[in-house]
Amino acid sequence: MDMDAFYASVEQRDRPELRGRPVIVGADPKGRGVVSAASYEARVFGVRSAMPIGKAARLCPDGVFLPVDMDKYAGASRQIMGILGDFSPLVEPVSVDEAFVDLTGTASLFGPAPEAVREIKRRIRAETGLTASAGLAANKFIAKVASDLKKPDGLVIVEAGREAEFLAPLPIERLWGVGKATAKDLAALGIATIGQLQRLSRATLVARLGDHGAGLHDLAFGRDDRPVEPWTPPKSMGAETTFERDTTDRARLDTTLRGQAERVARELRAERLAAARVTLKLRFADFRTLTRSHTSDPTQDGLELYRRVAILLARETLVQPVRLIGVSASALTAEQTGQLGLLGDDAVRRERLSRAVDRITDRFGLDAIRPAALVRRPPRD
Amino acid sequence: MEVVLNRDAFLKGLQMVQNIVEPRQTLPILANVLLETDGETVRLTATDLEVGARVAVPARVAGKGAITVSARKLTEIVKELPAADLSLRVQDNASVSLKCGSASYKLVGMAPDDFPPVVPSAQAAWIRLEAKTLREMLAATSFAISHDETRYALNGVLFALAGKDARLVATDGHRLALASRTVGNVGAAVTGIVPRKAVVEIQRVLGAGEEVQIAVTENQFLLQMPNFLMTARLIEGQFPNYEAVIPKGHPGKLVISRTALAGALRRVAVMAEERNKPVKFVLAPAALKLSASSADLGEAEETLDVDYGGAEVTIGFNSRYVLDAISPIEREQIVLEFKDGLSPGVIRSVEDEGYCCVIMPMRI
Repeated sequence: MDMDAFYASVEQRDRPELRGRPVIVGADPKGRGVVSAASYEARVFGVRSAMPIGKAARLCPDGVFLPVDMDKYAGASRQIMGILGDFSPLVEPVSVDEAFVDLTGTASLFGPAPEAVREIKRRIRAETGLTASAGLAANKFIAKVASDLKKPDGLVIVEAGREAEFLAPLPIERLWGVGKATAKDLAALGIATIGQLQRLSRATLVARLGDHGAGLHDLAFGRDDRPVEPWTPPKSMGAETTFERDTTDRARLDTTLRGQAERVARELRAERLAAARVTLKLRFADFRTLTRSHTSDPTQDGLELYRRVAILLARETLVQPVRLIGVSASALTAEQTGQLGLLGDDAVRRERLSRAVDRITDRFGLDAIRPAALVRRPPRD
Repeated sequence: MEVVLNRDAFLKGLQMVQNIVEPRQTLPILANVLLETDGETVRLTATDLEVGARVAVPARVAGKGAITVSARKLTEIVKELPAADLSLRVQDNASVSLKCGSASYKLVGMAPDDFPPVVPSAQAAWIRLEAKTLREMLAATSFAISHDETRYALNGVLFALAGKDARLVATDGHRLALASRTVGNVGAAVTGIVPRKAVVEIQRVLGAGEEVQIAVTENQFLLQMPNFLMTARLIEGQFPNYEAVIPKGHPGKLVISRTALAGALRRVAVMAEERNKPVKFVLAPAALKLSASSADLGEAEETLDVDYGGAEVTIGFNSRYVLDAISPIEREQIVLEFKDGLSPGVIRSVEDEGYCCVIMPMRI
């Protein structure tokens, strides 16, 4: 399943005045970023995703340019993934707007696979107001290619055994792993379509392209035996630092933990998780290693993780210099659930702050913003 | 030292101090109870260096002296003895011979000299109050003490005494319970955080009728009853500004029967997820709907008729917290004050203005 012009469609759904107009979601059109998504109206002007935003602005000067509102798209995405989950336990999200669904053995519940796919599309449209395109095939690669062929709101079914026939007329760029360089190599052999590629022997392809050639040969015939792998939530997330030289400097250990806690918290937020248990790991000069854990309310706030792990560190006697220090977060739960706190920092405000920091680091890099405690002070005279 | 005690009185005394002794100690002598003669009594003292307790038991003193012996073993022995006179005699090599009826024991003891003293600081300003009052106030707050040992300032009950106003407050960061009463005169305003262990022990030893005296000094909490003294080192640390936590002027208010709410809550919570026992409160005109569900188990729902005409509000609470908050209330009618799903709810007693419990919601 592949959502059609997902970000742009969500915006058009939520703002009826944008329907029928070219909508381009992405970076500031005056800046140097790229297009994240373009509505079908914008595509008429030649706007494509990943195109420099300035170019899109020239191609489509009357387009509606909107910033990326990931929270909103993620909400719609969760809803869609939820619908897919109603049809099969094996759902593999590929991105926010794309997923593989294994319908093997679901016929007794939802009817033949084409019926099930139509029902999925119908429910997505009814429950989210968005359209999806589907490819139904015996493996992931063919399903993916098929889902792209009849956008928007398409459904392409490729019967098992007819993969090679289905692929033959398509350009070789449709094959995974065929980029500009490979396409150029193949063009030199006079090959532009997958059908032409099918007529080359495996040995010729290997001689020309190495191991990559063997893989292409399989793909050209639509052979792909990778299973649909449902996403499983991680059990823990952590960060560790081995010092250049063993240290007993508690201030240094604290600062290291602070940075690690921020990293782990950022990773938690990226996965939309919160951790109830935080674990401190210390390895001493003689390689003796100890871990200390503490469990309380789930958090995804770097400062809070640091506070908890710093208390664990403060309780330990440093019998030897420390070689390695690390933080890990476990007992993971979905974010923004569970008990709210009564005291101290207002959790809702801290969340907003963390989100803002995440947006800044996503755009300008990890060095763009950090807690003041991690800013190296200039040496004093 | 040579004394004769009544077995029942001795056992009662031992039981008042014996819980102070920690199963594992930093110093061997802390496993022991100190026995020392004091006039026509034997004083029993136990301490873990944080909390100490001392009780005087009437005795016939034939020879003065002191000794320490294992608190656990001594209690075990006395518990099994018949109700008769019991004699204790310290022998030269710091051992104790104990005789009662036809049973006799020889206990290995330790010299009393190294036993840490349990003494009240001199400048204690004592406040008198009824044991019943103190017990009720502790019952109305102690359930909210935090178990999170990294938040040590929350590991006890705050005693805030000023004028005639005595307030006890406890919070674990999710809920906060406050009990305030008017008591006899207090001098200067004092506050101190009394550790959980002392709170538990006080609740255990407080009788029904008697009067008690309490004092909060710079670093100690003291409790005195006839023949009994408890000292506890106050928790150092900043207790949260509890007055800022208690919401004032919440727009929503609901008066409801305590037993009806507690019953429905218990029934619905059976189906709630085990760790936090979340129950959803949906308050609509004339109806309070409680519901709980868990992915593995199923769901439950119950609706109570209520006298409410305001806007619909949905709030999730840990049902254990709500039941804890209700349980100290004796009268039938309770008040629930609320604003929205992200703001703390307040539970009060209609009759007792001195009690309130603030509970932060869950996001469900």
